[in-house]
Amino acid sequence: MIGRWTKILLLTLLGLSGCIDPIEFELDQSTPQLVIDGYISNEPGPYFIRLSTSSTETISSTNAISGATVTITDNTGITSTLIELVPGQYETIGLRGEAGKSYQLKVVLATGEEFESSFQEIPEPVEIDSLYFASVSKLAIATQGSTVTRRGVEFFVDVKNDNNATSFYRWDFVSTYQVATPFPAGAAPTVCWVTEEPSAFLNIAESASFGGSKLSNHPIFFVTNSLRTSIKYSMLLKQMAMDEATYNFWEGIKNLREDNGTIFDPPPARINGNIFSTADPSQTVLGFFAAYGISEKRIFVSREQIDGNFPQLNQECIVIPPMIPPAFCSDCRAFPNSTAFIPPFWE
Amino acid sequence: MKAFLARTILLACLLPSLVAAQNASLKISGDYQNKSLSEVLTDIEKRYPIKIFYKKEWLTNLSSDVSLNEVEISRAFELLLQGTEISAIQYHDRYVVLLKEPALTADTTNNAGPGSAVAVIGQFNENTTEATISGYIRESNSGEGIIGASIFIDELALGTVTNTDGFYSLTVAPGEYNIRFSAIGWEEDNRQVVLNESGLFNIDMFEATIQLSEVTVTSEAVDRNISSVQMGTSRLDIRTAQKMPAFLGEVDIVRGLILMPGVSTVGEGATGFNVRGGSVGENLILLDDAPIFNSSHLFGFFSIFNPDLVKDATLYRGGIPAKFGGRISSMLDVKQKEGNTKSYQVRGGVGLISSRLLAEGPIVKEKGSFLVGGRLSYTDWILNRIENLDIRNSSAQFYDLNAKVNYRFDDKNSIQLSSYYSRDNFKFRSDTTFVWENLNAVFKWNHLFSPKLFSSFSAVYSSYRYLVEGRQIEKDFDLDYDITYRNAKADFSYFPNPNHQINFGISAISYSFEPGRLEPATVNSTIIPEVLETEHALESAAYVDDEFKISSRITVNYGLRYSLYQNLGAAQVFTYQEDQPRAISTITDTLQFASGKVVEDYQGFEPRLSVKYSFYNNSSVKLSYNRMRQYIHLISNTTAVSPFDIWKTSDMHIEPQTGDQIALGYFRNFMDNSLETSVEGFYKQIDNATEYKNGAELLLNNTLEADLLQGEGRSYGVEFLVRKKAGRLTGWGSYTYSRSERKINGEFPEERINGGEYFPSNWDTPHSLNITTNYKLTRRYSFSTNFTFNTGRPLTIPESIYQIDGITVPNFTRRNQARIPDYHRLDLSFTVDGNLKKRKNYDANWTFSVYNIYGRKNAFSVFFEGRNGQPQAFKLSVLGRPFAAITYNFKFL
Repeated sequence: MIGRWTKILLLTLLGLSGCIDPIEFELDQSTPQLVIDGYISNEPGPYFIRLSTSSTETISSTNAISGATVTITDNTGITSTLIELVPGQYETIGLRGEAGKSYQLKVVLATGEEFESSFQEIPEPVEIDSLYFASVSKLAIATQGSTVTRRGVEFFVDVKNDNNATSFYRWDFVSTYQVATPFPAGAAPTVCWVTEEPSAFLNIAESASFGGSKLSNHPIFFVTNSLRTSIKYSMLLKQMAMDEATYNFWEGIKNLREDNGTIFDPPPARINGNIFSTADPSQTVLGFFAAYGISEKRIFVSREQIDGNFPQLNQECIVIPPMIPPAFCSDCRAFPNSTAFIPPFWE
Repeated sequence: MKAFLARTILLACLLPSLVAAQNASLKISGDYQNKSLSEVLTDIEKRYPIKIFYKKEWLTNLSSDVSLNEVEISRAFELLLQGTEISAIQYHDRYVVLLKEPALTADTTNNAGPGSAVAVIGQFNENTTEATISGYIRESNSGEGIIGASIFIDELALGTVTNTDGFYSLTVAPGEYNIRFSAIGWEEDNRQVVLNESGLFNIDMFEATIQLSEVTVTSEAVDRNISSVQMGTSRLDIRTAQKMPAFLGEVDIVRGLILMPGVSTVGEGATGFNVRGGSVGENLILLDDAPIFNSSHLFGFFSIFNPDLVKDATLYRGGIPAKFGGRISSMLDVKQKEGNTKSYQVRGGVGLISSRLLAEGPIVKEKGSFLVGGRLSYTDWILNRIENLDIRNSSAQFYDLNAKVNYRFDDKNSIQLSSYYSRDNFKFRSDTTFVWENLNAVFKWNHLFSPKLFSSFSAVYSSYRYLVEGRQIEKDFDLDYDITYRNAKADFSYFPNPNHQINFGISAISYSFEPGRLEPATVNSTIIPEVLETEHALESAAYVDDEFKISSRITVNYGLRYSLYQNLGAAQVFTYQEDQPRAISTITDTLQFASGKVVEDYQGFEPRLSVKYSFYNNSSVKLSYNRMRQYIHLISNTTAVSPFDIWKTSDMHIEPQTGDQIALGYFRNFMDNSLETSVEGFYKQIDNATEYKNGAELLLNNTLEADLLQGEGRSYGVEFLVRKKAGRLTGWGSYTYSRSERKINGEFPEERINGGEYFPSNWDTPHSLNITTNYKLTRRYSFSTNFTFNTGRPLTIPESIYQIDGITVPNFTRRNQARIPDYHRLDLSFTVDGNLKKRKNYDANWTFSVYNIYGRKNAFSVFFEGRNGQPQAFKLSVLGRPFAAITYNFKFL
């Protein structure tokens, strides 16, 4: 918190003279490092474990590690083996995680190298007390030195942890929203539902160090007034309860993403996980095998519940011939991840 | 005693007439044709019971051309000195004093004034075998004591220096002596003293620069760096600092000290400084004996010391005297002016960032004085130029106030009351306000039990506080942080004989830290209140040291300090599982301690030793060892310390730090002591150095011990210094090679950093070069430069990227394996002093300065960006262009 403030202050003070230039560092050729990433939870499987390597370029499918033997063993000694359906992605068959049980991940690479995680216990899921939204305006930086106000709807969560289980959380969500076909053609449906998952979304919080079990008004996500909320929007929130070590791992990643590298930031550091080589525990293995107690809650927001104007939607559909409007203008199924079948949960 | 002094003065004034009245029974003979005058005088002294007082350099190239045959002594000198500018006066029948005439400004109508005639202390008594000469050395114009002035008896090749109150004491056999009083920046004063009995001898010294005297203007002649046993010190008086180019024209004594060898900083805007590889929190900063917990304004761009009020600053980075304790790396002793006891003065200055005003004067003339001063900043005009609404709606401001009162009851008793207050206020975007404040007060009573026993009793209060006021809708909060420090102490200096100076004393400190109180500011606020428990501790210490001059060549200062630390209740202490790293989840129990009950105590001896051996060729070698213990810790996991970092007391889980340092140095002066050179090497070992787990959140953390790690630190280096103190060109150049490393090798893998191996600390900057010069073009115009270079500080950089759950994460190397680009910068300044009239009631000067004249874009910080590919490194330069400034200073007398 302090770091963030001082950063703001400092950059403010120096705003008049600061300038930013790229610089180069000479790096020793680094060897690609093993990354193991995945989790088990109380929700039905399959659970996925991804094996890959780090890269000095962009991450692509060439970083996937195939041909490994991946197993998950529980504290009663029952082992299940994962199968590799997509290169580098291993999934469980029939395994169902249970809260209170502990699980250990074992990976044997094709080279014979063995890795295992510490035992991770699935915590009891913590009920989401309430999920709600508010119409808000947010200032965003448009170009350097100028700001723009964005109107939209922000979602918040309250968590009341009465049974005093773990108080470390991460949230993920799935959006589903209704879209209309602007200029329906023929038998095309007039209404569709688009389902999206945010990419690289990381939202964590803990209530352990702030005096107890209650977490109030924790912001989840801000949706700008747009096509998404132009008719009706629904969010399915997943709350993942975890232990302190797992939380610290995610917090480390979050801090790295937010780090500006000023002298008022903690120095960035490698995020150590919980997976170790059995032969050489000091070998660097990136990633984490987590165990989550997951609880869910869904919320709907209609256009009428949202303040503020919406930008002119579907402008792309009004074009001057001979240009052709995009496909979704005449058939909403052409929106990415769109379906014309009403989802079972839709109200 | 006063009556006695008056008699002495009277005697000195009446001397010329006494000469005339002398019974001229003694007659001199000798063939002194074509002999140098100094030979002649030596010969006369040898053959007749006469003592002749003079300065050797007066006689250079002078010769005698007379032959004397039974000539009366006064006539003999008349003949000998014919045609020279030197005249002789005689008194009793044993003394002849040579005077160089005309002494243009030497004001011989009172005791003050260089070259005054012979002073006689006490009545001659054959049975007296020992006499103590002691007194205060003060500035002639203001009456303030001069610190570290040197007193040297030529005949005995024996000397001492004044303490921080300007007091000195020397015990010698009775006799006639030529005593030299000197101090940097003050004209050397030679006195012929006939010491018959113990007595007080106060000296007022004249400013070397203003004095229009043809007597050698000696702003040097202090060979303290080679003659004193103390090593590892850097002293900067404010007059030197004022000549240096200052950032935005703000004279800053701390910025001046950063240019000394062995001192570094992690960045241009960073609070505090690092000494010989130690962290910022390992420096004890004292302002008139009151510790300062945050020494910076505006986050670190300026120090809190108002240049008008600072007299001088001494930084001890090695061989720290037993008197000081509580921090393991260094001691910065900043002394404020005392206030003019002779006349009223108003001075001030106007700059781009702030303006200053100070008034001082006597309360009772020659006895008591007051001084009040203040400084106020106006930086909003800078913020208003920024094209960002948030920033335009922000404001930044600081001010500080000083007040001091002095009263001398008599020559044996004086009291001093000083107080300081500083406040920084930063309002961001009209919804968050940051405030930090220093407040301190010191009461001090100096008492002279005897000329040999000087004592000083002090009561010190110091506090630091910060406050953050958040005013976002429904999230308004106040966050408050407080430190209270109280100290009572008694310090004694005992001068049994010229070969020993014994210092001893006791001290008791009470700490009370309120590590954080978060409260909702309105009823609508959803902020949950959080109040961390106040930490209490008591630190007691006793010390004794003896500066023993074993021979004219060897001096030893050996001392011992013993400190006892008690962490007191009321407290709630968590216990953790033994076989697990400390974490919230491994808490096993909570121990309750009642108010005042000892939770944990730590204690230990802190031996100190310094040895000096002088060679004949104006050089000396010195060796020192010191152990320091530090019971409170500055908790910060950022590269630079910020005003919002917190101090923590040692407790059941966090142990005190100890630092052991040995240093060896060679010191040599050239050109009649005007050129000082030195080489010092040091090695320092630190136990229980505090580091942080990655990702630790330190604010409002009631299980802070679970986020802290303790390990070892070591640093070593060699420092070179060349300093020229006299002539038209003055200044210094320093080069330091040093390393600073840490090793955190805990029991569990989570408690290790870099695999438990040594790694460079955040402030490890191996090469550091500083060159500061001042060239006096004329008496009114001077030109200063400052060049600084240092290796870039360590940095942790990403070597690759990987993906976790769709999130691209940079993969960092082990801690601090790379460095930001090297830092260098050149500053210039030009000072125009006021007119040179001796009697004037208004004085002013202008300073024009340019900071970073060649616009080097030094990296303030380095960060990495690139969400999906290899992160690209960027450097942020904050002062990456020349900054010009103009400052006007004035003085009414």
